[in-house]
This record gives sequence, structure tokens and C-alpha cells, in this order.
Amino acid sequence: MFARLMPYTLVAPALLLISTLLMGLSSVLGWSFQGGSGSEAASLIQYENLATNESYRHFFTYSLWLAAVSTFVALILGFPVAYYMEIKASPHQRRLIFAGLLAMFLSDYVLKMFGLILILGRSGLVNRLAMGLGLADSPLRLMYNEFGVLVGLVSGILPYMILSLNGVIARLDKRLQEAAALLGAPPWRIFLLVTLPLCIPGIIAGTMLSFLLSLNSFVTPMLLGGGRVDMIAVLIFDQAINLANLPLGSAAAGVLFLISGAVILLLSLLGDRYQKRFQR
Amino acid sequence: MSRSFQFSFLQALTFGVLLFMALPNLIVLAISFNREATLAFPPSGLSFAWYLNVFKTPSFAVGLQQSVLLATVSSAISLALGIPAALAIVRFRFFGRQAVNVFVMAPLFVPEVVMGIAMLLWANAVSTISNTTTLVILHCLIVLPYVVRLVVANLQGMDPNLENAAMLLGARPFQAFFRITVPLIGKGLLGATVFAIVMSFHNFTATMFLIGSRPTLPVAAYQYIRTENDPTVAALSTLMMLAGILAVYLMERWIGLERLVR
Amino acid sequence: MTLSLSFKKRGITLTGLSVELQGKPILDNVDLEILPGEIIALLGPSGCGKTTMLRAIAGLQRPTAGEIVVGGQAMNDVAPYRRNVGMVFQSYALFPHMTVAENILFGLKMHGVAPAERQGILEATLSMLELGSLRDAYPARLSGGQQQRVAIARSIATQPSVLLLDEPLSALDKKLKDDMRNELRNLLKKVGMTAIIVTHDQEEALAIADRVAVMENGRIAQIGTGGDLYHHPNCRFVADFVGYMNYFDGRVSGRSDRSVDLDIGRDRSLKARAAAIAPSQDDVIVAVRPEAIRPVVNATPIDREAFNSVTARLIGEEFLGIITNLRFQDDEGRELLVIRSGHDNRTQLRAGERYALIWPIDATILMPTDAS
Ligand SMILES: Nc1ncnc2c1ncn2[C@@H]1O[C@H](COP(=O)(O)OP(=O)(O)OP(=O)(O)O)[C@@H](O)[C@H]1O
Ligand SMILES: [Mg+2]
Repeated sequence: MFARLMPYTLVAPALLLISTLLMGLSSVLGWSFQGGSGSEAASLIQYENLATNESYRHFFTYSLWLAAVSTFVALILGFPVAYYMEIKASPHQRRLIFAGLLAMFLSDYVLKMFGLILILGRSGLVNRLAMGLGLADSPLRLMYNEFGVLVGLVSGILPYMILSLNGVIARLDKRLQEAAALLGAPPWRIFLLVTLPLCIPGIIAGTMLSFLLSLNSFVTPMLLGGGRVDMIAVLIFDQAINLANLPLGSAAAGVLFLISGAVILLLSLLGDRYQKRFQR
Repeated sequence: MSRSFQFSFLQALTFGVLLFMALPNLIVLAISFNREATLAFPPSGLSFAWYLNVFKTPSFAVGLQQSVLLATVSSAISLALGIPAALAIVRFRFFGRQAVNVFVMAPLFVPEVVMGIAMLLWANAVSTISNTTTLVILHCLIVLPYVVRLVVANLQGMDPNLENAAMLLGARPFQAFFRITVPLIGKGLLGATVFAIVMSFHNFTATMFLIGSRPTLPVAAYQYIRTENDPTVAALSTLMMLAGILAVYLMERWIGLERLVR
Repeated sequence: MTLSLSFKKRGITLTGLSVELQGKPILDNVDLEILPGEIIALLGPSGCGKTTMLRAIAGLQRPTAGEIVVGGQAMNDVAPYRRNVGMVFQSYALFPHMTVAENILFGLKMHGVAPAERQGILEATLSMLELGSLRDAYPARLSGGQQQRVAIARSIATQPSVLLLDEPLSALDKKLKDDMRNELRNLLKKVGMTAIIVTHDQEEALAIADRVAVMENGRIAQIGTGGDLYHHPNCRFVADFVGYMNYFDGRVSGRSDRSVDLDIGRDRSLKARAAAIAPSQDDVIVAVRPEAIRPVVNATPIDREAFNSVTARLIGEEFLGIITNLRFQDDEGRELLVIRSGHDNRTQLRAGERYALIWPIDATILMPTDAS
């Protein structure tokens, strides 16, 4: 019957498109099980290599570390902004900040990193200022190292973090804070006991998004790390493209996919559990 | 007393963070007018030469062409695939609907590098496919979830009985769709189109895996930054920022900014 | 003013119509025969399947079983846009991006009516529903009553022989509702459309429709004129839905040609007309409308062949203007409601006193017990 098949006809083209990705992902899986030099049988040698070789392993542990630190910093910096624009700002200010955030959100990532180079570089803004004010004798090393990458990561994920946080804060019932104030709670206690707990779902969502973006970041370690900072995306790109080592690149991609999936699962479960506590 | 202090502290913090986020763009803007061929701040004098240079740099011209091609073709395809899918998801109750919903959103959960290498391997396996075609498919994959999500949100905001009413007045389903649904969600569709174009235009990481001889604009800029040391890229950035502001403006008008992110 | 298109009255026949949604039966084996030009009201509690029935007839909801015939033509496999069935949605579903005139013209364009003729029909429709001054307004600017008139105008402009109206008056206030229901009936009768009108409001149903169908849980419990439903409800559900009713559990203790004797406990008995009951049944519900009952002083002589009587004590009185509610309790603790006209103060009643409640045997209603 026509009406029965209609929805399937409508979704079929989109599903066909998505299936190319699934085919690609299964290719990644297939390649990652290939052994070295021409052996046909499937093997775990690539994964073994990633797990035992200290320098490969470092890419993963160090990426996780950088992602965690940058997410934490973005959370600390982003929360006040999200809170301010939703609770304190005038409607006009709010709109302005919102538009600005969206402009950031949509602005080109490569070019944003370029701007950071102009700030952090040897003769960049910060060094000029520091030396001009006599705070430093010689240029400080602010990029091509961990610091530079962290600044880049934080700057990259801040808009996402703020927009996620802003989402929950906007949905907060303002009367709750007023109720708490009428019960005699001082502002900082209201914030800690009422506002913050209700924001946890947004914090979890923003943390998940930011962590994944940082973890998978490629442009930042390339431009602000000068390709010398060990991040997974750089490893995958080097192996797959520059060194034409598709099996190892695929295995690394497989592991990254797994880690990302685990992060999504873990944080979603956490968010669900947190919200379940409120529900009967 | 302490209240106003808290208030101004929060305000200061907010504007500090916003400044931190905006500073790279502002610096780029300033440097783009630099007289000298250095990236040093502050600029030593005013010049528009680098803007001219943007247009004289061959890799940027190629990049612009390639990026525009990718953005228009892939957003057109994504709309053509995404609108029917969104219609099915909103208007029909069918077996597997939830699965379809998840499936269409799947690319959002795949890290970009993984998507890049996956499509590289897919293209290798298919072998006869051209670089640009693979890039179009990749960009469609990246954009499709957003298109579907935006169109679904728009359709959900519309009374389904409007289409039913049209049909009972004699309109065929496609007439009802084009005369009633399209005009009513039209702005939403325009917004989705702009969003799709922007997402495709700026994609870098996954795109890097599939770049052949013709880079996209962000890739060309990246290569320029790594090899050259003059403000041409700053001028390019400024131009792209202007385009970005235009995009934000259009989206504010057509869909409302807040609806886009929530 | 009448419209110029040729118009053919069509009846509706539903046979065994069933709809299941997500495994739940929403319409359950519905049979319904509607004559050409007849107006039927669908009355029933929320969620009983009224909207679903209209949607099935319009072709917006596929039946899981059964047949829909309109004007002698089987409709099951006919697409909604070919059924020539008009519908006024509960939310009106006016096209927000079109003016009143454009909304009304939409169906005519879809039916390929020539522009000159379209214009004529538009004018006629606008003037019939007194919408002339609003022709260029957008729906969002109209009041509820105006929107409703536009919705009706739009649905009748294409001259569907069948019009389905889903709670068309529910958004209006009481006064407007009362005006509109008369206008609506006159309009439908003038054009001669067969119509099904869904409503929650029994008064509205009785005022607009030729016959009323009371629905319960996806079935039609009873269909008939207002009088039928009021005086001869076939079950408690219908009796309660249309007005208030007093009940006694009864047992048939004797039958004659003209009447049955009913035992209602403690050796009390009532009589009812023999035609009111199936001959096989013994356990019955005996019912009487509150306004059929008259309280009289206990010693009054009563014609036992024409009247039933029980004795009860007056326990409460509410003066409501036009009517007065009197609450009685009989010797077995049953509460009985009696409604008297507000002007009826011929009998001065005193709270706590015992009276004889009498009503004509003809007004005694028999219904099957709930179990059967
Ligand atoms: N898409 C659906 N899926 C499952 N059940 C549905 C669906 N639509 C309606 N129902 C159920 O069908 C039943 C009848 O719905 P319907 O809308 O016909 O009721 P109604 O009599 O019009 O009620 P109301 O007076 O409130 O409008 C309801 O119990 C409703 O929950
Ligand atoms: Mg209904």
C-alpha cells in the first residue's frame, strides 16, 4: 500500500547517504585488523602496537589530559558568561552577546587559530606588551608548546560550552531563586544550593561536547603546537596521509572512535541518572 | 555594597572572557591593514594592499571556487535529502522511525578525523570516484544532521491539520506541501540553508583527508599560514568574518538565533 | 442567497468501521447510517473516538476494518483530496499566510474552478457568512468567532456534499455559541449538506442535529432524536449523558399485555409499559427523569393504574431560578432528585417531612442491567 511505503520512500535517500559513512567506518575497522606487509590474516598487531609503544600511547594519554584541562578551564570561564547573559544582562545586551557568540561559533576555526598566533607568537601582542611594559626581557615562549595548545583549545570550545550552559540557565525557573531568597538564603548559598544543581544537565552536556571537540582537535595542535604536540588527530593524519600507514592510522581512528563513544555513553548515563533522581 | 561588587565582578569576568574570545578576530582585523609584510602588532601603517593580494593569490582563488562549489552542491543535496527525511520523521508514525531518527543523526557522533579517514578509505574502495565527489559526499554527511534537525523543529511547530485541510479542499499531497508547508516553514528552510553552507564552507579537519590537488579555502589559508609570513591571510580572514557576520544576520532574521542552538 | 454549483445530496454509511492505533482499539465496529441532507451530532466524553471517526470518514485515518460509503460510493481507497468531504477542524486550521479571501479561494483553485466563477462563489460565500468586510484580513487578526466563520466558509465554498465539523463552537463564549448554533443549522439546511458535528455539549447537540449519536469507548451507544435519547435511553451511559436520571434496581414480577410489574425491594412495586422491555429479561434497571416526578402530600389518593409512587423524605432544596432541585431519600436510603419549575409553589414542602413521589407509568424507563 502506497501510504505504508511513503515514509520509507522519503527517508531512503538520506539513509543511502548515511550508509556511505557506515561503509567507510567498516573499512576503517577492516584496515585496522590488517597485519604488516601483505599478510592476509586479520590480526590485532596494530592495536598491540598502539598499546605497547610508549610514544604512540603518549598521543592518547596526552590528548585526554589536554581535553580534560581545556574543558575544565572552559567550564570555569564559560559559566559566568552564560549566567551573566541569562540572569543579569539587559535584553539588548543579551541579544548582542548571543549574536557575538554565534559569530564565534560560525567563524572559521583555522582563521581563529591564526589570530591566536598573532597574539601568542614571538612578536605577537602579548610579547610586545610584556616587553614594552618591561615585564620580560626576551620574548616568552607562548606557543608551539602545551600552553599555546591549551589556549587554542579553550578558545575553540568556549562558544559551545557557553551556549550549552546558557540553554539550561535559560530554562531555570527564576521563581525558585526568589523562593530561596524569601526563605532567607544569601545569594551565594542560593547559587550553590539551588542554581548550580539545576544546571548540572547543561554542565554535563557542555562538558561532553567540549571534551569531544578538544579530544578530536587537529587544527590547534598543528598551528599552535607546530605539529609537535602529541594529539590523536595529528597521529591519525600523519599515519594515514603523510606516512601512508593506513592500518595503523585506522587502528588509531578505531580507538579514538571507541573513546569518544565511551565518553558519550558515560556522560549521558551520568546525566540520565542525575535527572532520574528528581523524577518519581 | 557587597551586592554591587558581586555584580561588577561577574560583569568584569564576563567581558574579560568575551574579549578573550573576540581578541583573535580583532587582531586579525588590525593586522590586515598593516603597511609592512610582517605579522607584528601593532601595525606600522595603513594599507589595503593585502586585500588586493588575497585576490592575486592563486591558491585562494582555487580555494574559493572549490569551497563555494562544495558548499552549494552539498547543502543543496542535504536539503533535498533532509527535508523529505524530516517530513517522514514528523508526519508519519512508521516502524523503525526512532531508528531512522538516530541513524540520520549518526554523523554527529563520529569524530571528524575518523570521518575523514573513513571517507578516504571508502573512496579508495570505490576507486572510480573523483576527489571532489567524495568531498561532496563528506560534506553532505556533515551537514545533513543539522538540516534534518532544523527542519524537524520547524515542522513540529506547524499544525499538521493545515496540510490535511488543504487536502480535503482538493490539494494533492505535493500541492499541499508546496502551497502550505513550504511557505510556512520557508524562513526556517532558508536558515537551514545558510547554516548548511556555513558548516560546509568552514569544514577543515575531515576535509584535509580528502584534499587532492585543489584545496578548499580554509585548507589554502592553512597552507599559507604554515609557509608564508605576511598579512594576506589576515585580509582573507577579515573578508570571511564579514561573510560570517552576514550569515549570522540572515539566520537571526530567518530562524532566530536562539532557536538555532537550542 | 444560494450557491450556484450543482449540488447532489449524499448519505453516509459506515459498516463495521474499526480503527486501531498502536494496538489499541479506538473505533470498535461502528455501524452508522446517515441519510442524505441529515445533520448528525456526535456526542461523547473526551477520548471516546469522535475525532477519529471524522478523520476516518475524511480519509485522514485508515480504518483497520470496515467500510465507509458516501453517496453510494465506497471510499476506503479514495484519497482525501478526491473524497469531496469538507472538514472544519477543531483548531480551524486556517492557512495563516493567506487572507480570508485566499483561504476561501484555495479549494476552488484546487478544484480547477474557472476564475470568473471562483469570484462569484467567493462573493456569495462571503456574504452568506457576513465576512465581506474581512476579506483581506489575515487569520491571526480575527476573533475566535470570525475565524470559525472563515473555516466554515472555506469548507463549504467547494460545495462538498458532506461536511464534518469537529467541535466547531468550542472556542466561543456562551452567547456567541448560542447564536452560532442556530445560524449553523440554518446554513447547513439551506445548502442541504449532510453533516456530522462533534460536540461535548448535549444542549448544542440537541439544538443543531436531526439525530444525535452518543459514543462510548469507540462504539455508538445509541442514536436517535433528542426525544428518543431523552425519553427512551437504552442504557445508563446514555441516560446519564443526556440529563439526570433516578434509578432503582428492579426485578420483573409479573407481565400483562399492557404493563409489567416490577419488584424494587421491600415488597414495593412499580409498573411500566410492556413495550419498554425485552420479554426474556428479568433483572432490569428502572429509571425516571427528575422532572417527571411530582411530590404530593402522603395521603393524596393515587390512580395506581396510571401512576407509580414511592414515599420519601425531603432532605434538601436548592432554588436555581428557573428550576428548583429537591432531594429526597426513600425508606431504603436511595437518594432521589426531583426537579420542579421555579414557579411551581402550589405545594409548600417542608424539609424532613415525608411525601409521596408520583410519576406517570408512561414515564417509567426500563433498561438492561449494566452486567448484560
Ligand atoms: N496517534 C495516536 N496514537 C495512539 N492513540 C491515539 C492517537 N490519536 C488518538 N489516540 C487515542 O485515541 C482515542 C480517541 O481519540 P479522539 O481524538 O478520537 O478522541 P475524541 O473523542 O475526539 O476526544 P476529544 O473530545 O478529547 O477531542 C484517545 O484515547 C486517544 O488517546
Ligand atoms: Mg476530538
